[in-house]
Parts: sequence; structure tokens; C-alpha cells
Amino acid sequence: MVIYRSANKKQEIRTWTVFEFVVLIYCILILGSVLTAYAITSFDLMPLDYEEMDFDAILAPPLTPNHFLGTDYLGRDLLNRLMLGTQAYLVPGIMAVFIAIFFGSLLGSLTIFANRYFKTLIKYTTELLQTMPRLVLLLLVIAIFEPDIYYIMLVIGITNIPGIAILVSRRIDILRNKSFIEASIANGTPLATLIFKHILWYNCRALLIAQAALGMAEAVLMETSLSYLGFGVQEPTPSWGNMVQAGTNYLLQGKLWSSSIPAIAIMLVLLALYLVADVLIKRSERKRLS
Amino acid sequence: MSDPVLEVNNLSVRFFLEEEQTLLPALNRISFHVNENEVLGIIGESGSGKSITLLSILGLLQTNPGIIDGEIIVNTREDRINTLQDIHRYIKIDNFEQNNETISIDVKAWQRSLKNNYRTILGNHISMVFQNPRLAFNPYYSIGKQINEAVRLCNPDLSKAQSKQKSIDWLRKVKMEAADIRYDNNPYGLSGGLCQRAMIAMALASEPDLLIADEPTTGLDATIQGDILALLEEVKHEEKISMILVSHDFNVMQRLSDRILVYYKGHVIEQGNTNEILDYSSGFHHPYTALLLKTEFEVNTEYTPPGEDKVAGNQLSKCPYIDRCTIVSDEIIEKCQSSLPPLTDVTPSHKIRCWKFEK
Repeated sequence: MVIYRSANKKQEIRTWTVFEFVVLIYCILILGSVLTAYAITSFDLMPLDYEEMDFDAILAPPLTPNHFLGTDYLGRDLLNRLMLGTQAYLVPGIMAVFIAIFFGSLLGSLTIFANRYFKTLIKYTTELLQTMPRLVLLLLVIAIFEPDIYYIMLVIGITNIPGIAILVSRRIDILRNKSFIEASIANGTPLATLIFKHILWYNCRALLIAQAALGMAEAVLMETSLSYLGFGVQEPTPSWGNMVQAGTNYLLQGKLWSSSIPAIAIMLVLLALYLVADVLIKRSERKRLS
Repeated sequence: MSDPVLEVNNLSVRFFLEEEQTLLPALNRISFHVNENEVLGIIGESGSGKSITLLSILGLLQTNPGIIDGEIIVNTREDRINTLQDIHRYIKIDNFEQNNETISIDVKAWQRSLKNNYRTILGNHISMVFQNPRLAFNPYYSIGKQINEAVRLCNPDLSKAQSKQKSIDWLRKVKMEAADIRYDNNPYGLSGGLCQRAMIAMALASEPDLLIADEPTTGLDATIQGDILALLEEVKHEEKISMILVSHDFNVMQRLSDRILVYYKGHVIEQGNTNEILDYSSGFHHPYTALLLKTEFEVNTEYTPPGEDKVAGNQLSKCPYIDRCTIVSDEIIEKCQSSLPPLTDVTPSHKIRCWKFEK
């Protein structure tokens, strides 16, 4: 059914399509519960201790009394550990994303003043970082320092910088020949306003926020892989990666929940982040045409 | 009479063609001035240097090598600024206007000096209406906010509500219907005519002395063109500003401009008051202007294809129009092929660059 009604332009922009509405609700649910879990665990409001083992309910299935999502092979409550697992991602992940976005966009906008040697340097640095397998680099860093999540996220953040810088600098290359840049210079707009407001804020905003969502997803995935391999968050501190790893031995016994529940959690969060990125880019394009 | 708002003396611009390794003379010793509350029209075919002149005046020309000689003097109420004052310090030319010109520029210092000189001028004394209004607005950002930015740049003391009110007033002044709703529109949500009006509002918002309009009616349909021209006329009378109007449409010129320059291949080949230039039957015309007028006012005109010569030097030592000229006679052909004709007075205000009119 199509409903035609005259409306203020501002309202029109704010209307949501059904798909976007579903995505919005989904993302609010998933990301909201992640944040709630983070808040609960940071204030230590959980009824159980994450290391407490229930010897009467080892590998108990979901929906057993006292253990809503069941327990793992040591009888530890999965819901409890799942909630505590958000501690491993949220702040370090945001740190990684922040490093990548902040320094990446700064470096990217500096290429306005750069000569071609500097641009070439950035280009080849990016290619070098892309050809080097990131997992190997991370293992190297872990070997030199220690398996700490902040080191890992620092590396992920730094290795993402050139990618964002190239993205921003290409965007600027496209924009700098547009006549609106000339028009703003002719209006006497200062260069800093031009770069930070007109280019970075208004023209790269959606792109960068989408990149942030994707970067967060990548950070989660990277941490999961490392924890699965045993190089990330160390037992007994739970993370979703090492929870999956701990459960894999019992998969063949038909006790799926121990590894699949954290895996499903990872999937839901990644899906939410990817959908956020997708919707943001589409909405920014629609806003441009309004 | 007070000083002219803008004086351009002997402006020369060159571009370096990488493939041919030669300098293309884009502008050759252009001189003109714009008086207070006067509209100067610039007419000419594509590639004749109209837009280059405007970009040079605004200081937006990239060095390649760009402006190499001349003076651009902006007379503000307080001051008289020659934006090209240090040109001879940074740019050295050997064999000027000969076949083997060489130019050496200290690019960084020259750009810094240009930027310094334009700091007080842009957004205060000169502003520009661009050719394609949709591209001249930032696409992700409502037109109202962009006008607001121009308002705030020239009146930094205004509060947020005041400057918003002022920008809505500017939108009303350019006859935008429902200005307070249009304030929130992004440029792609507006029709071409409305967008051009918003562009004019943005140019006026910085309260300039000189408005530069680069083909303001191109790409609009005839009725909207009429509206925009009427608006520009009104702006001229009400705001008391001078204007440079670039167009290749004689109707636009006839309606708005007081004086007209005719460009051909980077030379001013004719200049005079509008009625003198557009008087088709007077007989005092450069052959190129005559051709333009003929194509404008007569149907079925035989079209002479343009002579293609981009090689530097060639144009400077002969009449630029020699390849297409129809009025050249045996008496003057030697002069035409060997030297550039000077601008000759026909009447005190009407000048033609042709050996035929040389006394």
C-alpha cells in the first residue's frame, strides 16, 4: 500500500523504510544487550562468580534451573561468562576503531598538502600492510610483548590507519575538483573549516561511521580468532573466542551449546554491525538527494 | 567619479601543455575595469578565456604556470589592493611574447603571496555565482546552512538565531517561495532555478561590492532564465553592486550589461557600450563580433569553422582571427600576418582590435 501525503521536508527525511525499521530494532536489541551486559559486569552486579564451578551441572543444557544458557565443561554458567565476555571487546574494540578513524582521517586530510612522494609512501605502506598477514603480525607482537587484548587492539587499530587514510584521501581527491570547494574558497571560508567541516564532517561522515562499524566487527572477529587459537584473552578470563574453543571438544558428543552459544552471539553482533554500516551509507545517500 | 571597483591591467595567463611541451597563451594582456554599480559583460566562444579571467580575479587559478604578468587592483572602501603586487619577485619571464618564452616561478612562495593578498578580499569584496549551481553547493548539507555560513563569515558577531533569520531573509530576497522550509533542503532536492536563486543568495550573503556571475542562466529553461535575469537586474538596482557577467548569449547581455568585452582566443578584440556592440547595422564591428551578431539575429548563416591553432607564439605575432577573417584585404594582409593589431578607438568608448579600423 502506498500512502501519499504532503509533509514537511524534514519529516520526510526522517521516515524509515520497513527494512530500516527492522534493522533499527534488531540493532537496538543486540547492541543494547551488549551494552547492558557490559554495564552489569563492570559494576559487578552478577549473581554468580564467573569462576564458580557447579559440579552438579557439568555441561548442563540450556534452560536448566539456575543456568539459563547451560554450563560449560567445568560447570561454569555460560550466560555469566557470555556477559563477561563483552568486557574483552567493547573498550579495546572502540579503542582500535578510534585509533584507526582518528589518525586515518587526519593522515588522509593531510594529503591535501602532501606532494606525490608522500602520497606514494602512504600508498605503498598500505600495500605492505595488506600483503603482510595480519594474524602473523599479531602473533609476532604477542610473542614480543604478552598476550594482552590492548596490545592486540592497538595493532589492529594501527594496521587499519593507512586503509582509512587512503579512503579519505581518495574522497578528497574526488571532492577537490568539485566546484563547491571553489565556491567556498571564493566565499572566504578558512582552509581548516573547509577540510574539517565541509569535507570530513559533511562528506565523509557516513563513510567514516560505517567504517567504524566495520572496523569494530573486524576487531571482534580478530579477537575471536586469536582467542580461539589461544593467543588472545587467557583462561580463566572469558572471551567469546576462548569460550568457543573450550566447547569444541564436546561438539562430537552432541553437546552443541557450549561452543555454539558464544558463536551465535558473535554472529548476531557482527550482523548488527554490518547492517548498521549498510543502512548508514544508504541513508546518507538518500539524504543527499532530498 | 570615484575609482572603479576593479581594474585589470595587462593580465597574461599561460598554460603548459605537457604533450606538446609548449606554452598555451590563455590570456594576452587583457585590460579592463568595472565601475561602481555597472555591469560588465564578457562574451566569447568556449575556450576564449572568459572563465580563466574570472578565476584569475578570484585567485583560484592553479599555477601551471597560470598568471604570469599583470595587475588586478581591487578598490575597497578603505583600501586599494593590487593582488598581484609581488608578481615580479616570484615570476621571471624571458623573451616575453616571443616564440621561445621561458617562465620560471617560485611556485610555493607565489601561491603563499597570492593567498595572503586574497585573504581580506574573498568573501568581503568579491563573490561569485557559479555556472552549475547544484555542483557549487556541498551536496550533503542544507542550502540554508551553507548560506548561514557565508553570513557568519562576514558578520561574526551575530548570534545563531540572528544569522539564521538573516539567511532566511536572503532567501526571501531572491524570491524563494517558502524560504523557511527551503532552508532545510539539500541542493539535490531543489529544481535548477531554485538552486540558482539559492546560489545568488549565497553570493549576496557576504555583501560584496563586486558580484561575478559565470553564465548564470546556462542549463535553465527560457522562463526560468527570464526570472533569474530579472532577479539579477533587481539585485543590481537594489543592492548597488557592480557585476561581471559572463555569457555567450546576446539576449542576456542586452538585458543586463552596460558595457561588453568580446573575447577571442585570449584577446579582447572589441569593447564598448552595449548599444554600440549590439548595433548590428552600424558597420563598426570586428569581423568576429559581426559573425556572432549575424548568427544571433539572422537565420541560415554560413558557418566558418574555427581555425585550430594551439601552438604558442603563433597567436602573439599575428592577428588571432586571421584564419577565419572575411574582411581582410590585400592592403592590410601583410600587417595582419606579421603583427598583432592594437585596440583602436572608433568612438571614445568603442574599441576594436583590427587593422582595418586603424587610422
